[in-house]
Order: sequence, then C-alpha cells, then structure tokens
Amino acid sequence: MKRIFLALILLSGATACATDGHGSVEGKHTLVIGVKADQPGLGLRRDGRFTGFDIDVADYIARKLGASKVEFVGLTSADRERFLDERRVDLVVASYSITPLRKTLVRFAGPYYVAHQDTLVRSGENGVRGVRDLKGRRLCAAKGSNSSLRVTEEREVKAVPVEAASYSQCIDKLVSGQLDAVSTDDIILAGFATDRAGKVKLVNAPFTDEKMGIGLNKDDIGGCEAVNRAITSMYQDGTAAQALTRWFGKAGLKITTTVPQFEGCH
Amino acid sequence: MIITQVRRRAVPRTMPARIRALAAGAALAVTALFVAVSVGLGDARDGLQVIGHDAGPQVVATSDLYFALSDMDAQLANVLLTGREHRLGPGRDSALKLYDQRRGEADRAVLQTFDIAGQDPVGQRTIQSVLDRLGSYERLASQALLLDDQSAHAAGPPPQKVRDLYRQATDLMRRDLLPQAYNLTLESSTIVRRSSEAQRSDILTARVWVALSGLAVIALLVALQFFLARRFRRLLNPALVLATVVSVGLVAASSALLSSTAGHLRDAKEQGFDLTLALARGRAISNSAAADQTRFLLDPARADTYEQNYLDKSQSIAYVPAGNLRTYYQALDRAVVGRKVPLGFLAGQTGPVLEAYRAVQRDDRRLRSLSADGRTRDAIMLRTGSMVGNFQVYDAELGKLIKSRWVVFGQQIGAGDRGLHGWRQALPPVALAIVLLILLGIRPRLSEYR
Repeated sequence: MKRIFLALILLSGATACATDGHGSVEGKHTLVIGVKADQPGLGLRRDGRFTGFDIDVADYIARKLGASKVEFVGLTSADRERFLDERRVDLVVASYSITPLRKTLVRFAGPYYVAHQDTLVRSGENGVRGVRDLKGRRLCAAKGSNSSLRVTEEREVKAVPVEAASYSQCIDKLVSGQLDAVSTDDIILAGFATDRAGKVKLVNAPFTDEKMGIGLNKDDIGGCEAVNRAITSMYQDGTAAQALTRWFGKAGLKITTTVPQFEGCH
Repeated sequence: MIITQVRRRAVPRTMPARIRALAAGAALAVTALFVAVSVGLGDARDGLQVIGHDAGPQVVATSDLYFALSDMDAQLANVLLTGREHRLGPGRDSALKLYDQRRGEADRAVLQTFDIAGQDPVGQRTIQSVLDRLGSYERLASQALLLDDQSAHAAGPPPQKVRDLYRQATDLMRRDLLPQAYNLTLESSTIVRRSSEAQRSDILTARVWVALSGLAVIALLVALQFFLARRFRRLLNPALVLATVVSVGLVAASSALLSSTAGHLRDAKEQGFDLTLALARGRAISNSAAADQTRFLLDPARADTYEQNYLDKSQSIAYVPAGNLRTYYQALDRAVVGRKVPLGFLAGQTGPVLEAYRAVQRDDRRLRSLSADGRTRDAIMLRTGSMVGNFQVYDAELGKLIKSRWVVFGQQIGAGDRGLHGWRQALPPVALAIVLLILLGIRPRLSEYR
C-alpha cells in the first residue's frame, strides 16, 4: 500500500513538472539582461545608465514578458554564451548575430533586426569602396566577434587582422592609425560614425545579412516563443520603427521597419 | 461534545448500518472513479481532435504559404534572367504558369492560416499585412515583366530599370512577405506545441485521479469483504469478489489507455508533426536558396549578399563547420561520406536525400566557378538547364521524407483514436455493474437482520 502511494506521489510530481516553466524568462518579476556597454547607438553605459537601440528593445520585450523590473548587465562579445549558460543573465540583447555554431550553445529568439555588414574607414580614406578593397589593409578583429572572418574567411579577402578587445577599441585604433578599417554590422558602425563624425565614415557597401538575435538559455523554449511574440508586437505597434529612426536615422542608414524572419525556437 | 456526535454518526453502531455505510462508501468511490475515467477519456479525445484532426494538419498547410510565395519570386527571377530567349531551360511560359499556380496556392494557404493564427489580434494583423503586401508585390512583378519583355534583352542580367523594379519586388518579398509567412507557421506551431503539452498534462493528471479513486474503490471493497467474512464466517462473498475484479480491471485498463493515448499524442507530435514541419520548412528554404542562385546571376551588384544568403541557407539545411562556400562543399562531401550531418533540417538523414543535396551543391560549385571565370552565359545555361533537374530530384526526395513523416503522424493519431473506440459506450454499464454487484453482495446479509 505504502509503495503504491509513493508511486502515486511520484506520478503527480512528474505531471506537475511537465507544465512547470522551470527557469523560463516568461513570467519572471525581475529580468537580468546582458547588453553591450561600449557601443553608441546600441548599448552604451554613461553615468551608470544604459542607452541605445538594444536597450529599447530589451526594455520593450521585458515589459511584454510581464517583468516589473529590469536589470542591465554590461558584457562583451566573448562573455555572452557563458553568462547565459551559467544563468547569470536571463536574456542577451547585445548585437548578437545568430550563427549555426552559436545555435548549438544557446537558444535564439528573433532576429529582432537584420543588419548588414559594412565597413568604417578614416574620413580621408578614398581607396575603399567595397569589401574587396580591404585586401592588404589592416582590419580590426574584435574579440569574440565573427565579423572580421566574414571578410577574411567567407569572402577570402586577404586583409591583415589586428586584434582588439572590443569595437570601441577598434574605433580608437582606427582613429589613431593603428589599423585601417573596421568591418561589422552597419548599425554598430552607424553609432560610432555619428559619435565620431568628421573622423570616420561609413563606406556604404553592405555585403551580408546579419541576423541579430536575442540569446536565451538553451532549455528555455517557452521563453523563446514568448520573446518572438513580443518582437512581432514591437514591429506591429510601431515601436521598432520609432526606435530604429531614433538611433540610426541620423547616420543616413537605410533601415528596415518590418519584422524579420525568425529562426524558430526548436 | 460536537466531536462525539460526529464520531457517532461516522461510525454507525448497528451491524446493518455499518454494512450499509461501507457499501455506500464503495458506491460513492465507484462514482468518483467513473467521473475520473470520463474526464480522462474526454481529455484524451480532445487532445486527439485538436492535434490530430484540427490544428496539426492546418499548421502543416500553413507551411505551404512560405513555399508558394518564395517560389513566385523564384519564377519571376527565372523569367527576367532568360529575357527574350523564351525557350531557355523550362521556358518562359511554364515559369509564368508556375507563378500563377503558386499564387493560387498562396491564397489557399492564407485561408488555412487564418483559421488557426487568426484567433488573436497579432496573428490577424500579420495575415492582413501579408494580403496587402502580396497585392503590392504583384503590381511590381507585372511592371518588371512588362518592362523586361519590352527590353527584349539576351539571357543574363536585364537592363538597370528592370533590375531596379525586381530589387523592389524581391526586397518586398524577402524582407517583408516571406518573414511574416514564416513567422506565421512558427507561431501556429507554438500554439500546437503549447496546447499539446497542456493536453498531455491534463491526461496524465486524470490518470492520477483514476488511480486514486480506483484505489479507494478497491480498499473499500476489500474492507467490506473482510468485515462480512469475519461477521458471518463465510470465506468469500462471490458478488463482492466479482465487483473487486471488475474494478481492478477497469482501473488497470483505463490507466493503461490514458498512458498510451498520452504516448500516442507525444509520438504524433514529436515523430510526426515536428519532423514534418521541420522538413517542410527545410524544403521551402531549399527552394529560396535555389532562387538565390538565380538572383546571384541576375543582379551582379548584389552578388556578394546573395552568395552569403545562399551559404547561410545551406548551413541551415545541413550544417557543417565552414567559413565560406568553398570549404562548405568540401566539409559537406566529408560529412555525407561519413554519414554525419549533425545539425540543420537534414540532421539525422542518410541515403538518397543527402546524395541529392550533395549533387545540388556540386552544381552550385560549378555555377560559381563559371561565374568567377566570367563565363556568365555558361553559368546561365547551367542554372536553367541541368541544375533544374538535379534540384527537382532533391526536392522530390524531401517530398518523400515529408510524406513518410506525415504517415507516422497519421498512424499515431489513428492508434490513439482506435484505443478510445468503444469506451464511451462501455464505461457507464461497467460502473453500473460494479454498483449492482456491491448491492447483490450485501443484500443477503442485510436480509438476515430483518
């Protein structure tokens, strides 16, 4: 008799687990969101406050998920997978492009925007019209980012990689002449171009589609679906178009204001 | 004071009253068991209806929307690329006919989609927007076709004016329409996933209630049996024994039924539905990757982007670590030989479909190398010639796989339906029989007190 009751308790426990959204971002009161802290226009920390397109997106999604409090954590490209895996952050909204390899490590909602890789050079530079002109030039390779590989490996353009810890360091090195070009998502470059107007310029020759996704823990399928729903609303109610114009309108970037094709949560 | 009163009522003093109380308790427990089994059967039936007959098939139909739209743009690109050489490849007329056919399929798929995703305002807005944009797309497409026809250019990139119109059309399709269509299918499958999980958990909860109430029935019947045996010095009461046996049978059979229905639902979802949908998405993505090859030839200024799109789609179909198309072909060859495609829509597949996909990629390699050597004309002949056939072979293999997964889905749902067959009719008489057997068992004993 005792054994049967034990079995029954186990049974009811098992069914409870099946519906319990264990550790999902859906319905959490406080959401901890990893963002970039050094990318003007996307995620920038000044005087302890974060601002930028990624921040606006993160705020909107957190609200749609039902969170009453949002905490932002600054992180670099190299931190993203680890922070999600260790559950130090619930979401990553940090110019995080979706790649097949990263899909094996984290779960991606979105993309919330499809950016295009472009190139930033010093204002006086006239010899770079497209990606192929980067041959022989010194190209920034930011740690943890795959953008420079899009040039040197995918397009097989023989640029000389120069390492940097982050994109803001790339820009510093570009301005000071330690390297010749920075190639990555146009919306990352647009922020820097506005920030350092007169010193650097955008080449305006896009050559890829970059899917900027929202990273979640690998186990959170339900949360991923909920984030996708939030992104759809963000485009439908005009919030996305507003935020895009606010942050990238000035840089003369051609922005897309319709919802991107999602990767799917499975 | 109150407690003793309650106790007095709870434990009757006279013998007939005690027998009656135990029997009534048992009959009550049988009623509870009847309700629990009925609820479980209802949940099981609902689950099979929603997943197996309503939402499931509809979602699969919505995936046709993406395919149809994507192929409209592919056919448009084909016509523009061949220009005045109407008989190149499958020919202008057949491409235009296919365009119209896909347009009709898209319309029908929108209707299917509306049934499931149109139930909330977000889905409704998406569908409305798909219909609006489809109208705009068709206007641009017909303008491009007209202008292309007037320019009467040789096969290859059409004049700039046509290219500009096509850019507008294909951007509208690829950046606006296709994403919304794809997201609709994803959202519909989210609805199915969530409802299938809720239904499975309902069924398993019902199973717990069946077990609990069944246990109560059996415990009370055994108690009654013991009580009568001790009082009346008879070893067994045949009617009560029979009631117990029937109850045990009912509990065992209904628990097993609920477990197996939950199992069929899970297998239908995971082995049938999910894989059908993933492969259907893979088929649609494959088709749009093939169109990227045509666009690559059609609009040289954007060739880099179209090539990157093609690599990106190829990686999502069959992922092998590679940084560019050249290394992708090699890595794919190795993976197919070693029968190891770890990720992507073709993950876990072996045999003909992988071989066919490899042939498609081999063609792509030739296409790009011809184009890199400046042999654009040969590249166009290849794209509109033998490549079409090879792609059709691959597409047919995918079609076979999708069909076989859909058969699995049907089998699981069918098995679930068959399992439930007859229960609705059989349950009430069985429950009634148990109650009657209990009455039959205690009646002779009670009459001894008259």
